Amino acid sequence: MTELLPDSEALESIVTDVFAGLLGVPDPPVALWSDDEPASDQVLARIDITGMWEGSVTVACTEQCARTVAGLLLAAAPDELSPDDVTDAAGELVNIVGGNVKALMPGPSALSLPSVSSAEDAPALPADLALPLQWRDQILTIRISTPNVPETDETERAAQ
Amino acid sequence: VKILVVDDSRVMRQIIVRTLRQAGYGDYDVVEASTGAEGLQKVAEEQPAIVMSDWNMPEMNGLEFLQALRQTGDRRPFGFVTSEVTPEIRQEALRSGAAFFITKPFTPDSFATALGDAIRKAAA
Repeated sequence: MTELLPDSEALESIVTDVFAGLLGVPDPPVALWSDDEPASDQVLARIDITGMWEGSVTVACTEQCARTVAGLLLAAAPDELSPDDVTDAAGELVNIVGGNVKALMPGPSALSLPSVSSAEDAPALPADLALPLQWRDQILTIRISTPNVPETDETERAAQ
Repeated sequence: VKILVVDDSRVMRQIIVRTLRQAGYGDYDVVEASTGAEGLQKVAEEQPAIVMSDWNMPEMNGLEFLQALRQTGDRRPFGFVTSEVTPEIRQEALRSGAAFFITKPFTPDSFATALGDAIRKAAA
């Protein structure tokens, strides 16, 4: 168990690097500094870190956002993508974000394989840290969840 | 000349192929495999000049794939393209005989640097 969490700015920097480097977009997401986390839970891509530091990293976004990101990754029109393409792309996104989060935290630790689900099938874990980001007209949220951290108002709000 | 790309994600394989082209390796034929076991089979069948593999894969991870390949006596350049970015993992990869270690997110420049060095060393 650990209560250590990555820094929000470091998280934002990871996402910026992914969007600028891998997706090649000139306008990466920017943090939304608001008390109210916008609803963006349609697609949940999650990866777990186990070892010296334990926690889960989730990328939550709308179906449209996931499809747009997949289109950029595959250099294809979003409406031409199969559901498997969208799932695969969301898994890769959280895989990269999770790998970089793992490097920020005390090690050694191991990275799981990513899993992708719809919010209806698997509700989001309570978050110790939630970073909503605005990208174009979309919102995606990076959540860090650690085990055994007592729920607080902040956690409850982030989980909504 | 062939490059073998091994990754369980089809999306990532496609990104790697595109980045190879952008890095100046468009003349290379790219062979793909989605698992370490399939990678071993493709090495035997296709005789690629270079192998690029993911680290985290189900069943046989990238490190196990490299070790299995080396156990056959194969010494061709083998590198990782991975979201595992810690120095410990990098050292483990290099200790096991990896020729290069590219971290995600990557750029065409990082591909050009890593592959250029690996090809030069293999040819020396």
